[in-house]
Amino acid sequence: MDNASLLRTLTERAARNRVKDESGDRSLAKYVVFMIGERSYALPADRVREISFDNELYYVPFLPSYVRGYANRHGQPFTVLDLRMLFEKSALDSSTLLILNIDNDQLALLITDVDEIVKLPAGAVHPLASEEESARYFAHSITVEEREVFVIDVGTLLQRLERDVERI
Amino acid sequence: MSESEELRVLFVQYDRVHFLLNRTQCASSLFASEVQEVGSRHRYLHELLRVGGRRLLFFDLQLFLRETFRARGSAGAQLAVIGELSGFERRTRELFRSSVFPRLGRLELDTERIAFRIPSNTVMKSLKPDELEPHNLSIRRPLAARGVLAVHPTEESMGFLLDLDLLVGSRLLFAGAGRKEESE
Repeated sequence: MDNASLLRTLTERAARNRVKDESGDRSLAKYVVFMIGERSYALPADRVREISFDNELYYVPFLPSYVRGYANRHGQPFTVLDLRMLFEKSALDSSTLLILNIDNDQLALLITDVDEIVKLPAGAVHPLASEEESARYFAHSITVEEREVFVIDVGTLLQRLERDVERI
Repeated sequence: MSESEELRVLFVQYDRVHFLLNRTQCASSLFASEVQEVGSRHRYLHELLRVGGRRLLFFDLQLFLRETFRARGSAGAQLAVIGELSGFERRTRELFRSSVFPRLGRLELDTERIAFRIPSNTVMKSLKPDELEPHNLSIRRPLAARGVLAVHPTEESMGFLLDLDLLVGSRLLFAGAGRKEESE
């Protein structure tokens, strides 16, 4: 994508967001939509502290394979989880982190890129009907520009990590 | 130990990662000049170090760190740090007294001290405790149990505070010769 196209995309997105912002609907829920490889996922915006690019990852032994190690954020170690490794057993090659906003721990997700931040009405949030194993890591799905995007359940993710670490 | 008290550590530097050994667990350090290779089924324990006419078990901490933490780019490993077993936990002393030394009786070992091979560029440094961070809660237990006690993030690299007592006491340094602790 050249800069002109990029600028156009950003402008169009900003216009879309402006329309959403101006709708004045207090029932809108805000989500951060991001890519892990080719797949889109989302998190409620209040679960996201920041997006961080070009991070060095430091390998930490004795942990599940989907824990890719530590990232050093301003002198604080953040545990980096690779959800592609967890879901598909394939390591993600990236240095972009989505820093989670959770109590009592410092966790980050390794992601490919942030797609967009959306505000959605309650009607765009759907319960999950999938029987797939990985579905338990998702709280629900949302519809973003006619795509269904799974919303990650951070609580379930933490439970999985705690269970796996307990077994080590 | 108060937050204002300084911690004396041996600082072992690799390319993007470093390790800290608490000085209180290191009775002395010296150049590893008199080393004797012995047949062993252990990957990190196949040498003896002669110190003052005594022979000490010589753990290859350098190889362990390289393989376990994927550490790269240190200087040669010509230094040895000596640990006194009397300063280690009772569980570790018992492991050596009842299990390790009896099997190696023919080697006439020093049963008071053990040695660890470390890189030659190791230096002594002082740290304030607040320069160290505990491991994050969700992953703390397995790391601490294996002697990886805390983190030392700096601008250039990430550091790990190691406990020699727990490294040997948890038998990590007795791994079999045929396998690495962590696969690449």
